[in-house]
Amino acid sequence: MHRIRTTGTDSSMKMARTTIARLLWIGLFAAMPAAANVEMTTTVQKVILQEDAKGNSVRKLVSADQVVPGDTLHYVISFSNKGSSSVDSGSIVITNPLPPDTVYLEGTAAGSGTEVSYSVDSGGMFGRPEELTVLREGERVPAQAADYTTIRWAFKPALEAGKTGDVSFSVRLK
Amino acid sequence: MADVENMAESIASSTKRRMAGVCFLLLTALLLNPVCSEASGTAAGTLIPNTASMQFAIDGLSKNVRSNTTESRVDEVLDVVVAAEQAEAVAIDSPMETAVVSFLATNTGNGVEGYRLFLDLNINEGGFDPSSGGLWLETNGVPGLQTGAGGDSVHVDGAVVNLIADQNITVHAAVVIPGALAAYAESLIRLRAVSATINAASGVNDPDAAEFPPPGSTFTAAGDGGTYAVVGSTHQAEQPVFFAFPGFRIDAPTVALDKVAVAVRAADGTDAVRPGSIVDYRMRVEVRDAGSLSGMRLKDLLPPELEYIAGSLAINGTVEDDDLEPLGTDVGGYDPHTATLDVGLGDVALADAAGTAVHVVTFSATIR
Repeated sequence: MHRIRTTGTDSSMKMARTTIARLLWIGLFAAMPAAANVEMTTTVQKVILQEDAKGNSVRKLVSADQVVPGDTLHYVISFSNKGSSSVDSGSIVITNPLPPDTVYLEGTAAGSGTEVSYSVDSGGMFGRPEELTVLREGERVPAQAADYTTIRWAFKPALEAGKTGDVSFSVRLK
Repeated sequence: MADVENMAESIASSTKRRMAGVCFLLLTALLLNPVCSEASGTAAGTLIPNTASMQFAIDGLSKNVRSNTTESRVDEVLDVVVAAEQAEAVAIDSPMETAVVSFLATNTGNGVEGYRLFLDLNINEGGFDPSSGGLWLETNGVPGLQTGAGGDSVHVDGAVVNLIADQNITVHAAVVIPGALAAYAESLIRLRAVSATINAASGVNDPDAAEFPPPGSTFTAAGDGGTYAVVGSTHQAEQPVFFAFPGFRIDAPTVALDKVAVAVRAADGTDAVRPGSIVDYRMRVEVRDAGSLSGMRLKDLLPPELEYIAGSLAINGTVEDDDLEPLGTDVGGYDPHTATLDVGLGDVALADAAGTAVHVVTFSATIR
């Protein structure tokens, strides 16, 4: 049971808005192009290691309500095309600035059909890990996972109406 | 030539055995340092938000969407590390009114926490316990313990000291050393720091106790800002880093051995060194610095150029026979098979300025 909050709205306001929006849609439908209704949801879980019956260490995802420094947090960003039109292939780019007080865990960014790149300058420039450098003690050196500030996924296929996708990454809480 | 090496070795090995406890102290202290310097992490109560955004296009028309924001709240970890500031045991006298060792207690958790500080004196197995002692908090900014006006602050045993994350405090333990201690007497004392939150929730104030909440135990709303309080790993009883064991030890005795040829007597009445001349040797042995030694034995291997003169051995002015059998007062002799003088000196007390407890062994040999 992760803590998810929708920022800036409460449920009654949301309902009111939705009602107004529906009325607007009904009124304007004929004049509008197909609805562009893509939704995104972020969830977070904590990764723990547990021993199974055979004594093997097993990764388990549990609630991220309680976290302490050193914990591993696993984020999943799901997206869904709720509209009636297909989203253009190659047009989807998902960007996630790393949460504050966390360090990206190398190799954890994933997403079917996506190409992952990273930024070490808060999203100014993105590149593959081997392309990134940082200045350390006046010298330009290859960037480490801990230098990353932002992750970006380029989703290649088209996202047809009714289809979903997701990407994920993990961090360690400093 | 006196077999100084042999003797030094036997003394060294007895010292080694007695120092084993001290070496452990040193090791413990070394292990502590990296732990102390580690930052304690994101502050308790911090919210960790995450929001993703997405750019996409429909029929070439570019659009944006943002996700919801997740928030994880950082709980308070209750962790404390106590380290001895001395790497080795502190040398003391017996008796001694005030012997001081210092500890550094560091809040390695991520919140503001009170730690109850206790001084444990009766943790010795085989060692001596200090007669009494107390804790002082380093508060006057002058290194070391100063008592009286303008000095450091008395700490009531078990009272709470509040530390913010990463903050540390130097705590001095001042103890009274009893009299009549034997050489190498050792004592271990420890500073015990226990989170006041854990103590209040569990009633336990000794991390070594079986009922002490294990790492990962949580206490609802007991952390900073109403967060959960989580028992950290340094409270784990088995981890030696939690306690430091500096100790007190009487200064070790040292042995001084000095061998001289006091006279050379040639057949012609001169002191010429040549075959046939007789050399008179004197060896002086004494215990210096502190304490005493038991079962001391002096061995002197004669080189092939020297032939021991039968019946010439004397210990502290008393002529000894050459027989090695320990009969009666016969404590020494000469073994012709190994060409070795062997003198048992037994328990040797600390030498004083008047020369008491100095042992003198004399013998003569002929140059071949």
